[in-house]
Amino acid sequence: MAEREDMGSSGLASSRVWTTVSLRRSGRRPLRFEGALAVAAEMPPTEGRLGHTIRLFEVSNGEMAVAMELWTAGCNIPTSDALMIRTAEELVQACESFDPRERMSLDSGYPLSGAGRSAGASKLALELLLEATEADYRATVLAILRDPCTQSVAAYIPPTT
Amino acid sequence: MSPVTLFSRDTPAPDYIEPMSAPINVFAAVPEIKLHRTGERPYVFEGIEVCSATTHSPGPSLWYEINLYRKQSGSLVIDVRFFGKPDDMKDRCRTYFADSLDEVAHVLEGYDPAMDIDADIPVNDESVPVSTIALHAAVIRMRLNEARRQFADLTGEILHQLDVH
Repeated sequence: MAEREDMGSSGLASSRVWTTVSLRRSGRRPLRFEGALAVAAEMPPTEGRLGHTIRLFEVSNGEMAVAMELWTAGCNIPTSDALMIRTAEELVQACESFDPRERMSLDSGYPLSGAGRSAGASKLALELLLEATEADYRATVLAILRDPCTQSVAAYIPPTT
Repeated sequence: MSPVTLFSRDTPAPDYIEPMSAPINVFAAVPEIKLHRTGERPYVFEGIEVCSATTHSPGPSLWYEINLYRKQSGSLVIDVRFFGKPDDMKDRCRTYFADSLDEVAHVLEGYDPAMDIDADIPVNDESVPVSTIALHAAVIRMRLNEARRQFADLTGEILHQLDVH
């Protein structure tokens, strides 16, 4: 179960103190905006499982931003993405588009000459790791979406015209 | 602790980007830096290291290292190094040039790690079973995905730490 950190639940943008937020995005420049953290959920990496963080921000212009990071034990650089969103539906799509299966390393470091034996030996363990990581991530996404603060923030966003 | 080592951070972060376009103090001692380049003669210049980061960790068969230097003229030198652990992978070093951090971002965002992965499948050797060729292809595909993921993660982290936007 992810450790959840509720950073406020008023849902009223006018009551926030905005600060400059910079969010990592793998392969791209960071996403930068004036905003405030609304909800954060984190699961640290452990042996055999990848860790992850999901953070939801209120943005000063009335939009939201969501940041997702995937952490590997022993590696200090996460796989990350961040998106600006306007609706709760876009939040769901953003979380679901960040697929841990596509972002995890399948490289166990064996040479081509020994690929057959090593690949066969590690396939089952890797599959278990993939399934566990994906299940952890999905559980955190669900927790974020069900959080009253998330629903409050999402409800505050002005409809697209 | 950040995985990106930033050098020359004597000044506060907001002022950090601006000095990039200004020449280094000519009276200060500037070290000579010699960069290895695969297939080319080394690139030698006088400058300072701005930042350095690597994706090296236990497990994966490959990793990247990126070093950013500022020349005495104020322009920037990007040193991209690829390392492979198994004997069938070759290390590669490439050097790129930029006049601003924005150009550095363009270089890193446009870098294709596919050029670092050898696709040496023995397709012309009829004694090699098809299943072995398929396995080689799968391993190459896996390495390619791993190289792209690592380089993207490293690029995102460096641009985040340098506050390039």
